[in-house]
Order: sequence, then C-alpha cells, then structure tokens
Amino acid sequence: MNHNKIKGIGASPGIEIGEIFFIKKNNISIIKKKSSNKPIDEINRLKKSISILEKKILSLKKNLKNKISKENLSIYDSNIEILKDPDLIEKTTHLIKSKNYSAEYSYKYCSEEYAKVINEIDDEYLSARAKDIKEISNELIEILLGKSSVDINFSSPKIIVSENISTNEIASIKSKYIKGIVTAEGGSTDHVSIISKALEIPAVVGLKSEIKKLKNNDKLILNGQEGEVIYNPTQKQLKEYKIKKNILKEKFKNAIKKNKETAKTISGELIKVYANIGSLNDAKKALKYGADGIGLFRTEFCFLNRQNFPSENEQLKLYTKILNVLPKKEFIIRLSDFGSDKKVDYIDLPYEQNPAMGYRGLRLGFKYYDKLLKPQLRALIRLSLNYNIKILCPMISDIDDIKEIKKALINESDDLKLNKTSQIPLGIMIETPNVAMNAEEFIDHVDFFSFGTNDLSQFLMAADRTNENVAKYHEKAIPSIMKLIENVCNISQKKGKWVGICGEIASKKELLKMFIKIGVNELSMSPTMIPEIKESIRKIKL
Amino acid sequence: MKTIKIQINDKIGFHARTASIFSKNASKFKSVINIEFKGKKVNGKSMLSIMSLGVKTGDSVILSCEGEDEEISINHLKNLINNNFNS
Repeated sequence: MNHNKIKGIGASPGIEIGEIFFIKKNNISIIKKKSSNKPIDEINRLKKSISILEKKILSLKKNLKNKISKENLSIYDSNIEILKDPDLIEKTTHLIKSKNYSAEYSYKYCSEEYAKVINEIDDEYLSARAKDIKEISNELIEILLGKSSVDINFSSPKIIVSENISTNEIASIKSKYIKGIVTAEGGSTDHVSIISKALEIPAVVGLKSEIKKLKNNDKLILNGQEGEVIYNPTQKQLKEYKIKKNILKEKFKNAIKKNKETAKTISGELIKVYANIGSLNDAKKALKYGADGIGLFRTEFCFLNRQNFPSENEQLKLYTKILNVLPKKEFIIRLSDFGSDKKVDYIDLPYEQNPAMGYRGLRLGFKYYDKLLKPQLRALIRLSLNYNIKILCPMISDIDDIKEIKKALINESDDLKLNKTSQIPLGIMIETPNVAMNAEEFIDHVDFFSFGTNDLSQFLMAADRTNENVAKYHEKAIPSIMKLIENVCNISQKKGKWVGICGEIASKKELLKMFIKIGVNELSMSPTMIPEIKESIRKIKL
Repeated sequence: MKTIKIQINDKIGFHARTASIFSKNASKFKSVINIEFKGKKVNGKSMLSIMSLGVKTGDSVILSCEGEDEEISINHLKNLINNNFNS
C-alpha cells in the first residue's frame, strides 16, 4: 500500500490526472433560530426562495437534456418534488407561525426530521433519498441566506473534490471542465454516482475523513476503476498512470468498435447476438452496444402508459421511429403480449385465478381482434415493405392459434390492397411445454422459433415467476430447458429453420458454448450485456 | 369517507418511485387522502410522508379518501396500486 493512496468507492469508471479544485461548503450552522420579521414575511420569503430554486433546477435540467437519458434526467424532477413537498412546506410554515422561527431554521429543522426518519429505514435506496433531502435543504437555505454556495467558476478542467456534491452542483458546472469527482460522502447507488456515470465523468466517492489530505491546486490521480485516489503523486506514479489511462482509452475505443463486429468463435462458428428492446431509448442502447439485430421487440412496452391502444397509423409512426435507429438490421417484432403481469386500463380483463395461464398474449389478441390485433398486424404489414422485419407470436400452446394468425395476416394484407406485398416471416415463442416438447407439429407452420425461457421455466417448474418465495426453482429448470432447446434445434435444422433464445438464460456465459454446440442461431438479451457476451463468444473453441 | 385495506405488490414496495407516482396521482383529487401503516397515518399527497412509512413489498396499508370526489379517488388509487403503479 502506498502512503499517498486513499481508498474509496469507484462510482464511475475511468482514470484521470489533474489539479484539485476543492469546493469548501459554507457552514450553515450560522442560522438564526428566532426571526425578527413577522411570520407572514418569513413565509413569503420561504415561498419566493422555493420558486427561485425550482427555476434553477429546471434550468440545470435543461442544460443536461441532450447529454443524459430521460430516466436519469428524472432525478431533477424528483429534486423538485422533494423541494415542493406539501407536508414539508406545511410543517415548515406551521413552525414559522407558531414559534416565530426563521424560514431557514424551520425548513432545515423539518427537512432534517424527514431525512432522519427515512434514513432509519433499512433500505439503500431510501438512504440515498435522505441525502437528496439534505442537499436540497442546504441549497434552499443558501438562497434564503442570500449566499451563493461557493464560487465554482473555473475555466480549465479540474478534478472536483468536496465533502459532498449535489446533482444540482454537478449540473451547474460545464461538464467539459469536470475531469473527475471525488467526495467524502456517498455510495455507488446515489444520484451523484448515476449522473457522473451518465456524463462519463470518472468518480471516486466515500473517502470519509481521509479527504482532508487533499488540498486545493494539488495534483491528483483519480482511479475510478479501483475506487482510489493518489495525492501528491511521485514522478514514477504519474508515468505509470499516464500509461494506464492511455491503455484504458484505447481499450474503450476498441471495445466500441469491436462491439459492432459479429461474434465468431475461435473454431469459426457464428452466432447472432441481438438485443431485447421495448422503447426508442432501448433501440439507441442496442445501437451503442453493438447489437447485430433486434431479437425481441416487446411492442406492448410502448403502450403501457396510455389511455387507449394506438391506431394502425400511430403504430406505424412509432415503429418507424424506432426501426430508424438501426434501419439496416433485422427486427423480430413480437405482437403485443398483454395480460398476466402487464395490465392496461384500455383492455377489460376478466378476473382470473391464474392470469399467467389465462387470457394473455395472442389469446387476448384474438378476443379483442378489432381493437388489438388488427391495427397491429396492418401496421406491421405496411412496415414490412421498407424494413427487414419478422413477426413473433407470444403465448402459443396450440397449432390452431398459428393457423388463425396466418389467416388474419392474409386477410389484412388483401384488405390493405398494397401494390407491393412481401411475405413476412412468422415465428412463435416457445414458452409453453407443449410447443417445446412437440415442435414437430409446429415446424411446418412457422419460419422460426424463439425460446422465452422465463415463462417456460415458470411452467416447467410450476413456480410463479413473480413470486419471490419460489424464485430458487427457476435456476433448477436450466437442464430441462437445455434438453428442450437441443431437441427443437435438431428438428429445425432438418427443415432449414432457425432457433433463437430471448429469455434470461441467453446471457448466461457458462451456457454459451452449449448453445453454439447444439446449433442455436441467435441469442437476444439486454443491450448492455452484448459487449461482454460477444467477447466471451470470441474466446470459445468447440 | 371511503376506506380500504390494500396490499402493495410492486416489487420495490411502497416507497421510492412508487411513492412519487402515488402522491402525484393523489394530488389530482380534492379529497383528503390518507395512508395508514403500523398505526401511523400520513398525507397521501406527500411523497416524503409516504416514504417515511417504509412500506415494503407484501405489506398492507389502509387507504382512506374523504371529500366530494372520494368515490372516484379511492377507485383510481386502488387501481393504481393493483396495477403495480402503471397508471
């Protein structure tokens, strides 16, 4: 262990070498408890300051709009929600009125009460929210006191070091000037870690009191990989880390380039590595992480937060937007799979004792044909004229369901009277034991199979996939599932058809070799898993 | 006043994101909306107060609505919880 190394928690990867910009926080213990103003004036002052901070947070959010995802941006909405919480404001104004306390003392007191109660609940997520409450309270008090927190204006890139830093503070500094972030407090799941990762700023948090050893303007090596910093580095250390930093940069560049290349084993077998998606954002991730195609487009995910099921034209527009992210790739689009654990207001589902085995997937599609299946089939037929798509049917257990969907496709196709028509390849999910065990019966009616192993293991093990008490049984289904996959691959190969897997086991590294051996053609998984899985495949020798 | 006992089945429990979704939905109504858990009763329109209850997956809470739109509000909020907060 080197004498000048401090261990913390790696919150965002990367190595940086730079000068420290130490942000010293104002000591806000100088708050006066009693106010000399009338309570009504204090309350007005509070309300005005809340509105100033709200505007500030909104403008910070706007600055980051094109830099981070919508999901991460919502952190700033949650900050505003804390700031304007009705109970927090009510309790604060009550304290001002009843005790004639100052606005800053009252807000601080009430928000600390909340932070304390929430922090005491044994939950990592809530502890992080308690931290957000304190940060927002501090920022509001600074506004009330008329003090800007600290001067964080600087014009060359620095490594920011501070006891704690808020998501608002990060957003208020131009990110090109932040080389890295080092804090005394914090953990890897709090909002600061999420934002620094999203902005690709290396960060080490949780240095605790050791942070006192770091001084403004001193040189620092920040190692986000190992979660440590080196202060006053020696010439030797500087040289060593410059090399490490360059290697990492090169590795990163190569990894991105390599992600997009196909995954071929040492012995020459090629397997398609596709992405599971359910939104435009997912499609962008699929592109970034180098998906060879889309193995499962869960269309129902686009329609969960709506009042009604979208029309044919609306769907066509939405799919086009998503397909245009990867316009040259193959898309396997699954017909909407509502029911079971995916309920929406616009479909009246009857009460069912076992919804996972009830009206769901295509069963529901047929029941509400005009409302659900018809507009979707028509949108997909029109889409197929310009894009490389395949249709995947969910929840099939009976051959008649396939016959019926084929008939519907022909009918809608005829009805659309398109000049150009294309036969869209049609496949089915294998998620019921009946299809898995008797693929011979289905093979002549389909162009491909895709294993949905999550549902399949639920039915094989008679273990509800949403019930945590029986979660351990799913792991045990793997040997049976592998046998079934092997059987289906054998049958498919004889007929020149292909087999994919889009369930969770597709990204299990220890099974990759087996998948390739038995002739699986395509694996589809969460986009972020793709680079790792492709790397593993490239090392396989059969 | 309308009151029901209801179980939270969402896998992250009734705190965090779900507290925010619930309070936003509750705020749309005029009724006074309360959530009671382990003898503690809080304002259902306040995200912080809901989080402070620390309700976890599988816990049951008592939801009550009182006011001119109590009928609609309790049905809406009940459905919200039953749909695991997918409004």
